[in-house]
Amino acid sequence: MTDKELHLLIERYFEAETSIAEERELRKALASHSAPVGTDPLIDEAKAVMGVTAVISAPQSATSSRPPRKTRRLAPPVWWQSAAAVAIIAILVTGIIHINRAPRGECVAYLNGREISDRDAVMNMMFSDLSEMEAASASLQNEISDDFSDIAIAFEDID
Amino acid sequence: MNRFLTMLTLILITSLSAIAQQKLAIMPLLDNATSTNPSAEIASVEVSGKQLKPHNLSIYKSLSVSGDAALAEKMERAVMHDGTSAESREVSLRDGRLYFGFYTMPPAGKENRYIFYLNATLAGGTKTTIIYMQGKAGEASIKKMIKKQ
Repeated sequence: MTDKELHLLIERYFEAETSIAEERELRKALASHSAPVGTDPLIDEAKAVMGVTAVISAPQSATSSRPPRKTRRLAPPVWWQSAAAVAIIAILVTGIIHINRAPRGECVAYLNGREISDRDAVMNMMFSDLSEMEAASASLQNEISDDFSDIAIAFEDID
Repeated sequence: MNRFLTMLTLILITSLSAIAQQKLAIMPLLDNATSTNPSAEIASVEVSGKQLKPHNLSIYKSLSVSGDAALAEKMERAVMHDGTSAESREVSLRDGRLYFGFYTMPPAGKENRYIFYLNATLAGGTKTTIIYMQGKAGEASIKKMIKKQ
């Protein structure tokens, strides 16, 4: 890699535009770069940031045109990526709660706050509820039948 | 990575929507109804597991209330709210109030869901009752089941 290519790669690294493969390539290029410390401030800075070699701090060159940069600029986090991560955790927690709440063979009744756990008593209460529903359902069917009968009579009258 | 997170977000939105549709207004009442009236009578039943296997059900919950008109009204409103999203319904009104209702609700996964409601106070009785049943039983089986009682 030429120095020009190396400089371009270092610039892209500091702009957080490099891929993982490119960073690996950069690290390799910096490690094998043989120029003594102080000859290229940009390369020295990249080496220091990436921890490639121990860099002996050298006085900044008076002719250096590059402003000192000690940290790599990170890409700003996209807000919805954080929201998606939170959402994933929420789904997992909801799923765990749902599984824990799944019925596990309950047979219990409460009458004015008093617990009834006798199985037969609870089942009797259940069937008593259903019997009342059956009576109401049958009554509804009778009402419908009566209505149909009335309609049938009305049709006969018309004929 | 971005595409993966976008897909995940879409899945989340769909799941939340599905979960919201499954929630019933009657559930908080069935799980924890209380009355401020000391003379009211509240009976609740919860059965699940092997007791219900012969009926092809997984969950049975019921709530019966006597002597608390406000709570009975709450029950009626909750049932009517859930009834709007029922797949089928048989209802009977008396004096403009819901007297009897049998609703087949959208399934929860592979299990069917049913709601029964009866306000016997509109026919000379004293109780208002909600029953919730969930399981693989079809509508016909449920009707057969209550006819046997």
